[in-house]
Amino acid sequence: MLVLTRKPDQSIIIGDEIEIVVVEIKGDAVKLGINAPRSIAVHRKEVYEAIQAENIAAAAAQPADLEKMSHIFPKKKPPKKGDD
Amino acid sequence: MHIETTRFGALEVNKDEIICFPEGLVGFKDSKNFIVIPHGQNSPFSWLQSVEEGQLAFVIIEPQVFCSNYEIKVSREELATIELNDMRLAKIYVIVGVGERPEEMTANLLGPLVINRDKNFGRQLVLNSDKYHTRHRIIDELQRMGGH
Repeated sequence: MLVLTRKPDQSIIIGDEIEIVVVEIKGDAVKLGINAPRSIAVHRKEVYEAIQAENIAAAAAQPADLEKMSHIFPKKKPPKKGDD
Repeated sequence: MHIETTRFGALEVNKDEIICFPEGLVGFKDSKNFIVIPHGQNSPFSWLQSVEEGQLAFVIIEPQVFCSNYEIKVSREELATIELNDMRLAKIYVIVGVGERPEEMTANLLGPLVINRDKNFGRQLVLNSDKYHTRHRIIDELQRMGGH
C-alpha cells in the first residue's frame, strides 16, 4: 500500500481523473473530498463490505428455505366480482 | 436461449427477459446477466438467477410488500449507468437473507437493486443512509406495517 502524508488542503491524484483532497482535520477525523468521474462509485469501505458480505451470505439461499416463509405474509385478497 | 441452473434445472430464457447489470452486484462484479424467476403464485418472493453461473441466485422481494415508507435517495449520476432518468420507471427489489426460521429472514435495505424496466438494465445501489442497514428482519417490518 502506498502511504502518503498530507496536510489540510493538500491532495492526491490517482490516475488522471481521481483526486482526493484533505478538506479538514478535526481531532481524529479526517474530512476527505473526492473528485472523480461520475461513472466511478465512491463509498465508505465498511458500508461496501457490509453489502458484499450480505450478498455472499444471501447467495446460499435455496428454494426449500422459502417454503416455510411465505405464510408470514398477508394473503392477497381475491379480486371482487366485476373488477378487471 | 438455454441455461442450466442448480436450483431450477434447465431453463429456456428469452433474450428480452435478461437484465444486464453492467457492474454486476457488489462482490460479484463479473456476474452481469440475470433473469427474475417468481418463486410461486402465492409468494411475494422471486429469484434473481444468473444466466452465466447456474449456481448463483438470490432471493429478492419488492420492499413495499413489508415496508411502506422505503425511501431511496439517489443521484442522477448513480442512475446514469442504467440509463434511468426517472425513478418512477424503476423496479426496486431488495435481496433477502434466509435464516433457519421465518423470523430470521432479513432484507438488505442498504443495497437495493434498481432495474430500468424499459431497457432491462440493473444496478445494486450502495445507499448513504443511517436509516437502513443490511439485515432488516422482515417479520418485524411486517408487524410495524400492520400497525398503521
